Amino acid sequence: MLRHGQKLIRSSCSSQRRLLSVGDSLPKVSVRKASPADEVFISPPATGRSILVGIPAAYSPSCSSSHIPGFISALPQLKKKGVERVDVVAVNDVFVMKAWQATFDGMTDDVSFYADQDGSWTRAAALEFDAAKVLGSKRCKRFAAIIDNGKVAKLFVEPDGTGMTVSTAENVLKEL
Amino acid sequence: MVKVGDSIPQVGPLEEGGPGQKVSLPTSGKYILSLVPGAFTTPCSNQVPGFVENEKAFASKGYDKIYVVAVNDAFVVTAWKEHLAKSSGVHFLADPTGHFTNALDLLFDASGLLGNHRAKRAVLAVEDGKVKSIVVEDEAPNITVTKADNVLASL
Repeated sequence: MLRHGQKLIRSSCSSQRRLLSVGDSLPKVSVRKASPADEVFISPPATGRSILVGIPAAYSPSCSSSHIPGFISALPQLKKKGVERVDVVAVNDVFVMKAWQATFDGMTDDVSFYADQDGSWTRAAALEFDAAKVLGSKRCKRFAAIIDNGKVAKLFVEPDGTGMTVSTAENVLKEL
Repeated sequence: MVKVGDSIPQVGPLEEGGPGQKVSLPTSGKYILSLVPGAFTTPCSNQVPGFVENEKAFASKGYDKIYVVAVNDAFVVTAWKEHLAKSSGVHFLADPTGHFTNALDLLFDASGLLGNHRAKRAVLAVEDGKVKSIVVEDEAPNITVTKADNVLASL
């Protein structure tokens, strides 16, 4: 039983499944960027601001024609508010993510796509939802996070995992 | 592993065009079933055009339908078809849960490469719902026995 004033020590267990929250660093769980052999971490700038966007399905209509293009076209305005880069993560393999990345107009080096192939990053962040009926597997909820100096400053997770409300570029801009 | 004479299992879902758009493989007539490990992967994107280009050649041997199947979701498989074979008559099907491929006993653990279990690279010739011939690559990235030209020559 905690006494008044006593702090709860957070476990730094690497298999955390506590919902990614304000103040957290991103899970130190590897994903892919360039190739299957190339395991990397999603590493926001240690000092500075970035956005992390999670999406349920590469090549799905809403992710492809609305959610991601929204962030790409908002890059100039995001940069005015101190955002250095936008990172995108999905439970799709690296071949799919690379092919999908190439379909977007206006892509720059400031936007990176990460493949959480086996869903382990998404599980560690407790942002997984069961999309088996539609997509055959568990996927990442749609979300957007403002990350300042490596820590989550604000997090917007779609309540149903797939909607386009709080996690849009438009909403993120309002919150910056 | 499914063998000559076995029936093609009617399990799924198999989807064409998008999630929820379920299809079944024909139980009569002849068709080619090309199982591939990963939409948009280099070997698969090299192998599949051979089947697209030889659609008429396969039809002249009585195989008037060709199905490419991958354990990917239907958004990905449909986008891959658009990219690879836009106006082709070749069918690109998604086996999003892997149940169909599993029922053929043709799944392999591709966790290191692709994050989950995927279909081995295999080509089956099917007649009236039964396997007439089957070739399977020993190693998933290889395209030898499953090359369209080689399959065509064997029919």
